[in-house]
Amino acid sequence: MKSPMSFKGYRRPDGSFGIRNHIAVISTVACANHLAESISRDYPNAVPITHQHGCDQLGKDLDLFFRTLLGIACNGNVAAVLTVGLGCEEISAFDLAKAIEKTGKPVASLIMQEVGGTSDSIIEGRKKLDFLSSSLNLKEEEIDFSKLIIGLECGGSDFSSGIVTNPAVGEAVELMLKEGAKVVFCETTELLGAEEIIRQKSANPGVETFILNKIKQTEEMAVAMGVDIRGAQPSPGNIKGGLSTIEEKSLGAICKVGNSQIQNVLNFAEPCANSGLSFMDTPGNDIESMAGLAAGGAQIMIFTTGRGTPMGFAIVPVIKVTATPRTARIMKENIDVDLSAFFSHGLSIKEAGKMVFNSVIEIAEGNLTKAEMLGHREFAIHRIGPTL
Amino acid sequence: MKKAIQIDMQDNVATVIENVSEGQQVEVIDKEANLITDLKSVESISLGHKIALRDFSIGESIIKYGFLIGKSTNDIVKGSHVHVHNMESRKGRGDLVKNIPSPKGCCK
Repeated sequence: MKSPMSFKGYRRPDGSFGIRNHIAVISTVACANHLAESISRDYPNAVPITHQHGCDQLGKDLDLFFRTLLGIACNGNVAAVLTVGLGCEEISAFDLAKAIEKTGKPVASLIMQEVGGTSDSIIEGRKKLDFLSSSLNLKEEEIDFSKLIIGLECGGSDFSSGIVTNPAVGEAVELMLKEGAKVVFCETTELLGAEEIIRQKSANPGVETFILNKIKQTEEMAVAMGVDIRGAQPSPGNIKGGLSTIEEKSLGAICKVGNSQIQNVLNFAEPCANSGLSFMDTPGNDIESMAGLAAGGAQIMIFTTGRGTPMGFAIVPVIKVTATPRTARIMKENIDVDLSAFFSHGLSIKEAGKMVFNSVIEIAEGNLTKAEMLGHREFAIHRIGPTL
Repeated sequence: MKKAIQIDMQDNVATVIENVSEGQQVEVIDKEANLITDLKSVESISLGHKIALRDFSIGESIIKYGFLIGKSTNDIVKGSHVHVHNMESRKGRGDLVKNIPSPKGCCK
């Protein structure tokens, strides 16, 4: 019998689960972006993963780049992977494919300098994609809600984020954790000023120390640059929306975790292995932090916004939630969950939380998010070192 | 009457949830819509912006969510708009550091 908290999904050879069945065509260097995009065209399941990096990266930065691409490839929403590269970059498409192969996921690679020009490489890439498409696991299985990893993100915050949207997500988080799901929140920059709440919500001293250190390092970075963080935090849009300081923005952002305790901590792109609520160290930049969450295994993301943003993610459905009446009205086509009735019709935070939770179930069952319907497939690499 | 939400009982600012004009009476409510108090706005305040629930001298703590969100940079009269023109953050202020240590690159 179908449990109310289960849905159809895809089982992967490494034991992970997906709610989407994408073939990721991952470019390992900017030089191969056009190739990745051209190969993917006309294949409805294929998603090109492109970015401007992969060349002249070193050390920890290069390691993070590799772990990010590998994490994206290993995400449960990805059924098969084609890695495409140029041939002279630090991480070859072949090496990345070899690492992916260990998970048992179908994978192929293509290195342009070994195949030929653009046209020949596209033909060769499409042959590989045809083969991968034929090997796709189309068998949907009943999957329990507890197999979900849900990422939390916010962008374009305003006054309503801390009053309605993030507290509503906090309610939804409680419901999702009760069902045994893994939930990950992130964006270290947007914890600056919320240190006391981190102290209260950390389940153990290890969690508390990790997060407080990351917050301190982020603040020190801004100070070491000799700049006033207020140039970007809060952003001009946040300020228009009524947020005056990073502290105010952070205290609103942390409402996403609700009454739950933070059980685990993760570095950027680190696989989320433990149940409960986790924190991942990511920057405040939306697309980079979503790349970290997806590389950590998130199959769904809940994205709260005040000012409104259209952003989706390459391989993960992103649920947009807003409570700002004007945004809900003028960006209606981008908003999945409209909580503006809090202001107009007395919608409670508890009811709003249930709406967010129900949306997660619907999207897990296969309904498309607005970002998916509109073709939003954003992706970006988070850098921690300079390009040399 | 116009409304403003006070999130925590310790807060000394509230968020107006409608555009407020100068001299209008504003009801301050909590998140469950219970009336806490009311006051008169001394200037127009846009939807989502903050109204001062009391007078502030320069350098006083502005409290929202029950926590410090910044310090006043001017004297602020009760009923005024509280925003970047009369309050500021004390976090990540590299511009306030006189002798900046040599940067260690942007690596975390």
